[in-house]
Amino acid sequence: MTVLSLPETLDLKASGPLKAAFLERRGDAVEVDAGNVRRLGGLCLQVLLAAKTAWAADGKSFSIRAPSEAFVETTRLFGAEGALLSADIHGVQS
Amino acid sequence: MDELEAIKVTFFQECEELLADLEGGLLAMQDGNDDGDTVNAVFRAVHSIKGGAGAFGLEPLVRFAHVFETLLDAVRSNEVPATPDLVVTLLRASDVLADHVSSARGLGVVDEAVSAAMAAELKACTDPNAAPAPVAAPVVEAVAFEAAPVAAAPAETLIGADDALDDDDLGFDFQPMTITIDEQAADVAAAAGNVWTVSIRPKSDLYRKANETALLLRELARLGPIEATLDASAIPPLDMLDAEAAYATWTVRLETEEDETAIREVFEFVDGDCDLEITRGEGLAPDAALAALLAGEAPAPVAAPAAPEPVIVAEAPAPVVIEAAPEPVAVAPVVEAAPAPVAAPVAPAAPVAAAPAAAKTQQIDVPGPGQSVIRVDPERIDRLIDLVGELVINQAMLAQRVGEYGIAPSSNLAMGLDELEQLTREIQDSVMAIRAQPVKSVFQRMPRLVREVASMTGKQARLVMDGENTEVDKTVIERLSDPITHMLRNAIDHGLESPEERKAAGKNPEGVVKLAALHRSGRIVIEVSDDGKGINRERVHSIAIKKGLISPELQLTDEEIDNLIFLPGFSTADKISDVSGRGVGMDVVKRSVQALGGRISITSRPGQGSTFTLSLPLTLAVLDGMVVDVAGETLVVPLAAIVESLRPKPEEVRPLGPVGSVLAVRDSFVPLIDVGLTLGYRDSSPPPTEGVVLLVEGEDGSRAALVADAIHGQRQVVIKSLEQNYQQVDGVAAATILGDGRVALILDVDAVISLRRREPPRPAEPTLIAAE
Repeated sequence: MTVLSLPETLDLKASGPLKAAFLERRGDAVEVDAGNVRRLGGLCLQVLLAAKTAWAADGKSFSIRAPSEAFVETTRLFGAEGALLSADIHGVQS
Repeated sequence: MDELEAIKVTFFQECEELLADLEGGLLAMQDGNDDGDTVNAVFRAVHSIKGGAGAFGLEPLVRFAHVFETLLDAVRSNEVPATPDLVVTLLRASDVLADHVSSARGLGVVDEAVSAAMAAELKACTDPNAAPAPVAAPVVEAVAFEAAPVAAAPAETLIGADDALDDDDLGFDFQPMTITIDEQAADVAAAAGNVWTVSIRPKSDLYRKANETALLLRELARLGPIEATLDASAIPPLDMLDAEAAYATWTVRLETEEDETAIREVFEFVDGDCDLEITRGEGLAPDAALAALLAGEAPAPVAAPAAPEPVIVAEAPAPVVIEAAPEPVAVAPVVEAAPAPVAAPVAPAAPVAAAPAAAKTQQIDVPGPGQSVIRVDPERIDRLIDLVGELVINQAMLAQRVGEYGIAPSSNLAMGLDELEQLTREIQDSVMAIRAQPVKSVFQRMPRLVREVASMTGKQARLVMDGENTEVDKTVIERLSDPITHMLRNAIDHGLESPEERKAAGKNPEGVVKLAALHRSGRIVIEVSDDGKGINRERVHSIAIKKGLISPELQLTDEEIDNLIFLPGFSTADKISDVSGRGVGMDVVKRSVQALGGRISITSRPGQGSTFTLSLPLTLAVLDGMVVDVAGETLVVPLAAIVESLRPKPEEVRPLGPVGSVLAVRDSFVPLIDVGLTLGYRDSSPPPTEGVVLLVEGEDGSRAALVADAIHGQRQVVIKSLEQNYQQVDGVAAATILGDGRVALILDVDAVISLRRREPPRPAEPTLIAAE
């Protein structure tokens, strides 16, 4: 199990490094720490979604741990909570 | 500079333009022009600044702009009348907004108290019935206030422009929206006229320009509850994914009372970077994700008969621009549309608006990427101008060589050369036109300056501007701002009287300061005039003597006394005021203007006011000139200054004083100036009748007759700055390279006239009037 801590700002500049960070951890179960995220942009959302799909294809566990309110809220705004967040987080009303 | 920084620079450039638009619009409103277009333009300017600022997380700017925008929105919808008082408030708010922009740019700091007070004032204007907010926390209050009327809407998000804003900071709890299939189905059945389907397909450029889909969604949520459905089907596998490319698309169901224009405004900043379709009523989310979400209910939204305007889905990647359909499209093809086009990743199916009007609007409002203004690095243009200058010189050299070979003017070669000259000239004009800009960009900053200076000095001043559209080379424009600023400050601080004094003098308590630009004699002339008390010549004279700037015995004309204020070390203010006299005297202004090849002068009438006149070359690049010979030197006299050229007859030349002489031209006498003597090429003048006389007119309208030995002809020359390459030389404006490769000096006609005035000792020189 490896942990990937997301930075505060997940914008254009963060998307490349985020992808690289996932590629490095490929093959291991990963726990994504989204507790610090204050801002989530469309590009990083795409990386997260692609990563989740990749991990599912590898049969490895991919989970998002303790997401910040901003993370949950923006994910919902994007209509991506079903695809990205687990059911327990999904149901939380922040 | 990284990419984001570069985008930020562009944003601030745009802010400058938007702030100018804002102020221009508000000033138009002040002049009674408060039609819908003007108010809309003003609103859009603030809205655009807010949107851009949000993308960069410039929170204080976003917050202030938001409060400002809210009030403008109310004005726009006629909820708040645009009274003259309100417009004054809006103008002050635009000043504060400009401060926020400067602060965000790292130039200066916003006075928080002023900003907070302004925000509170704007809020009070927006809703006079609202309880007055404590000044200490106006922004938070303002936002909470804004949220209040829409509290019932569950999905309302705040501010919208910036997802970095912490909701808690804003005193507002974010209410998340939830998607449940049941609700959606119910909504579909109940679909009213105020349900919209917005299909958003961001392009990679959208993100590259630091825009963000999340912001767009948030902005949409400001209009009413939204439900966004993500289509992630186009996202490639992780290892093949380009992290900076846009793949995901969204279909948003929006319930709002607003019209389509309001929805489109959300996407104002991403024009061309985002494919957008807005249709009234429920659309079919054309993606696999929704198909999965709806779990077998796929056709449901399509079948919804309640939608007033039927919407269908094209089955394949649809064109961005939609052809107007003359008739509502039949529902028949819907079934074919049901299989979601998973195989067509980037461009999923597009809903087609059935109403022709809606489709038409869409075509107009989504401009292609090619319609924007091109921003070019000025250095590239400068390089081009340099090259064209070289081309002009080269062409002149070629023409001269051809002339030397004695080729007939009617020959093909000579005619070809003429055409080349014509073309060169056109290229040059076109290149110069690229750099030409109206002085408006400088003038528009001045109303604020006048407001501020007037309030600091306790005077009432109204600025009247004229000739804002006068065009001048960009290099000149950039350097106009400081002298104009200084002259305006001076006009208000020193020129205008206090309202009481004005009343006592029988004048309107409100002083008028006029700023005008015009073209004259191939130069741009900027005039700053006031209707104040004029220059106190006695005082200026005595101060100049007290400071040892002039000798007490010297007899000076009124004009000369007025111009004493340009002497270094001269300041009439007894106390150094906040406004003028901050160490930058008029002498500094004069020097900076001279460095540009310009001149500054003042005329004044006691009790009626003063006029500063600043004249600068229109461009610092080319000039039409007359090539003349003086004492074996080749000189260029700017054509614009020449009235006529003539060979004087002996009876027309009259001696005047020990060394001077005048020329009788028709019914007036004009001083004769030997250029060779004035510039020091020779010690004594040959008789003027042996040479040629160029009758010239200075900028102040004064005439003189310049004596040269011979005229070579008229030529366009490329100006090479002496200041940059050597140093300033009295009487010489610049240099140029002639066709034969020699350097020739370009005469500064006004300077030559005034040099000659100064040369002989005053007592020995009777004035012209005395001679007549």
